[in-house]
Amino acid sequence: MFRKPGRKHSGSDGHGGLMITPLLDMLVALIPILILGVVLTRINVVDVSVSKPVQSISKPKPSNFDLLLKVGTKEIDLVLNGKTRLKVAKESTDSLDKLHSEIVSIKREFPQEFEIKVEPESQTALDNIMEVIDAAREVKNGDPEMIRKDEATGKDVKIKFLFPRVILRGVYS
Amino acid sequence: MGLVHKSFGGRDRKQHIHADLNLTPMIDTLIVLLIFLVKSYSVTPSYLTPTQSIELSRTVSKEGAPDKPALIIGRDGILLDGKIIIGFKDGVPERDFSRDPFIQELKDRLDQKKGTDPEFTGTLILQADKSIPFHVLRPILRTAGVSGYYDIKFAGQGAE
Repeated sequence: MFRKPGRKHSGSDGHGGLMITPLLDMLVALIPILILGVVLTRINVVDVSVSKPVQSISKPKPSNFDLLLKVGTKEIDLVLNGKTRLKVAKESTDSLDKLHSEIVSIKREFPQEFEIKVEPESQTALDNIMEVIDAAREVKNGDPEMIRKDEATGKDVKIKFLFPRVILRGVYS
Repeated sequence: MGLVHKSFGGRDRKQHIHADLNLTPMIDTLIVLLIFLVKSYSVTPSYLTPTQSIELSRTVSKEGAPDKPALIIGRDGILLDGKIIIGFKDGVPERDFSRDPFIQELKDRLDQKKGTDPEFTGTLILQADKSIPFHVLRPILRTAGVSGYYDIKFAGQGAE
């Protein structure tokens, strides 16, 4: 008289459950991909200023600090107030380390200065420009501790960046 | 907690125990994790997803990319909002604009972008291939400067 429960709709154990195995498989596959994707595709930025194309009516304040990095295809020149402080061949393996050390020593001399001008040559690749900017901006782990006086509070603060205000020269020439 | 079914039948009182693994908390955790990851993707500006045509420079900078207009300079051309403004052939611009005071097509698009952006701050993210020489970048930066984008942020791949 009574129909037996169909096997199509129920498991062999007699109670029909939702098949969640494909859902689990998908989640388990998707999560590592997303985690890896978040880590590997992290994009950071380096702040660079381009000077305004209009001539300023008021003359800029005279400064006793003018730090310039000339990035050529073969050499990198570090010029402070018109005098060359360092000239390194780009091909040598420790050129960026030497450059960074010299920039650190300049920062120790002028802890209240933040600006550096970068002037790349026409053929210089962006990668080389970025390397040099990194060497001029960031404080590395092995660097000596540097202190500067905070102008607002008058207290001594630890220097976290060497010359973070990077101005790209030669854009309008 | 597992489900326990006991069936009693026959003389010998056979006992069948089915102990199922309760996966509900695990699925809950996975779904929460999935939502979190998808959200973190959506927070990162979509236009900064690395494209196959460009290889970014590495940088030790820890500053994340802000939600600002991004100009992509790859081997295919100059792109703004995913649309090609000037095409490149084998990584070289189809038209020589090195002597132009600025690139007219790019200036028009940047001016348009600036006009429609209520939060305009003069910031432009430049996502360019690491091999691009400065003489190709120069007119692009010049055009950005003429359009009022003075604060350029070079995008690079995080070193760690």
